[in-house]
Amino acid sequence: MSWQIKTFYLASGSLYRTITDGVDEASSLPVVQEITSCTVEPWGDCKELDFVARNDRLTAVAGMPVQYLEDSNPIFWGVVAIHPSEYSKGAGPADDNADALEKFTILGGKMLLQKSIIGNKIYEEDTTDIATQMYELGNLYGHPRLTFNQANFPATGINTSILAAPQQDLASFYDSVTQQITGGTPVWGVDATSAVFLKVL
Amino acid sequence: MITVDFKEVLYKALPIDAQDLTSAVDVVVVGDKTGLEPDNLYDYDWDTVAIETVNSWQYVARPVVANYAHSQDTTYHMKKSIKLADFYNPFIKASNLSYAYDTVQANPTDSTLVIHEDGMSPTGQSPARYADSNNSTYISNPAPAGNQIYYVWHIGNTYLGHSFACIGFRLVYSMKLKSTATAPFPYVQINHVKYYTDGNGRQHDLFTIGNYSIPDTDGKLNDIYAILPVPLHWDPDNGIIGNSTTAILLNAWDANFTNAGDFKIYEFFPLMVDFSKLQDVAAAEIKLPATRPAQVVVKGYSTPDTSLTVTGYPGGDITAAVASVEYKHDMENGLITVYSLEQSTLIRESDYGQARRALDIQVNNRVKLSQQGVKSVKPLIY
Repeated sequence: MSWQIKTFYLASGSLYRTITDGVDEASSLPVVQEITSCTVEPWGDCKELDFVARNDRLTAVAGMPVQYLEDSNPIFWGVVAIHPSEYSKGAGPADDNADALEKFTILGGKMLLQKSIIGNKIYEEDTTDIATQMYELGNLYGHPRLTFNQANFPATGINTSILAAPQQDLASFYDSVTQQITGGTPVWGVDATSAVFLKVL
Repeated sequence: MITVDFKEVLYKALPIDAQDLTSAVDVVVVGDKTGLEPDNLYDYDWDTVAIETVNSWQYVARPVVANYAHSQDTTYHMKKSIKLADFYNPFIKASNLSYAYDTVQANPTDSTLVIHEDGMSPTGQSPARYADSNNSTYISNPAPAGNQIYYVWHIGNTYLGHSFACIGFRLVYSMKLKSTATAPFPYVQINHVKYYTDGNGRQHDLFTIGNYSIPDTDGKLNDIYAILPVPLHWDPDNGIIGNSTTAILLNAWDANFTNAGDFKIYEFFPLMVDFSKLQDVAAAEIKLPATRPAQVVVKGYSTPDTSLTVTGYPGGDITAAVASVEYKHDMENGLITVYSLEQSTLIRESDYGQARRALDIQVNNRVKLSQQGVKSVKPLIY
């Protein structure tokens, strides 16, 4: 059993650090102490990952993509939401503010869709499937660290006569547009490889 | 600036909370048409070669948005859309608009508002007479001679680009129509045109036109406005690229009046969005993460200040902005002063202050207009 935390550059998405079994591969120094909890929805949407680490060595910053893997299988993908300062060397027994010094909270990729604002695309008298519209709008306006693949948006057989959602964030747009889908429970999310998906359960 | 010694104080690091991180902001100025409802509204594609309408649409407004992106947005890409506060006037003051008289110029290409006027009295008046926020100066119809009184505010190509700054008009007037008045009744027209060349190199003029009849007031003063943003499908996101112009026209047939002075125009000017001013409002919403938030507890009283330096900190002195100062008094410690340093929510505090000041100035200016001028965007899914 081997576990890994990978961090990625926010601007480019390329690999920044790989921490294997808690140890940074580049410096061979211990960095991540433990994975406290990792929550994923039953349909694969990543919710929250908490771990304890020294940020003077991990040097993670707000918004940085983080992936958690077990035996090379992706378990979770998300972005840094709450973290200690980059000067923090971790907490000792006397520190009563240990969370501030070493706790990381990573939120799932949905957080990035809340920060992605839809522009002025409009579908008029259109027969495009609603799933394709979700894919196209995500691809156009979604955060660049998320991946959009048409195959993750299977056709629903439903289309709208007119669809436009300028100035809405993609997360709330997806929430409202999936309500149009009948014949099952529609769910959407961001999986452990940063891919956005739609599923009808 | 306060200076404290690390050995004398209690220094506690705080976590960096970036859940509300925002590196770019869109401020929605107008989300939909508002003010006076148009009597009729057209949104169509005129093929200039075939000389016919080739398509027409149900009008959907393109939100008028002022945006600001921080230089670090290329890293974070965290965007937020907010609605402009109801009491904020988003438009350029009429007295700050620049005007030039026009006699023939049909397609002006500069930023000046070109005015063509015909038939009203006194003639040759500067726009100050009807764009001066002064309800004692006006122009009016002369003794009826069967002319059409005709006004044009025509906004040029280059100024608008894709920003679509001119989206409406305001009119303060008094009018007393003849009891036997017949069509055409007085009306204002907002006329947006976009010049677009399709994939086959064919020239189209896309028109969005709203016609607003001017209500008869039996000689009393009335204040009306209408806002008609350009349609959503004109946006480059829908593959439509080209220059656009906006004309605002006022038409009245003087045979519908009995006497000179039955139609007086006190104010008539286009509503032009002040994008540069609104950028300040957008900038005030930027929230970037702090680098080293902390809490510093000092024994006894220490004065409030905006900056604090901790000397003797292992690894070098720290200077940081103070986000809040809190005093506590209890039996155990007596009085203590608690400084919270560098809360991420307080980044760009000074810009926020500037925006608030700009806002306070605007509050006193045409409150009524802007209160109604702002409409939020609703998503359309049906």
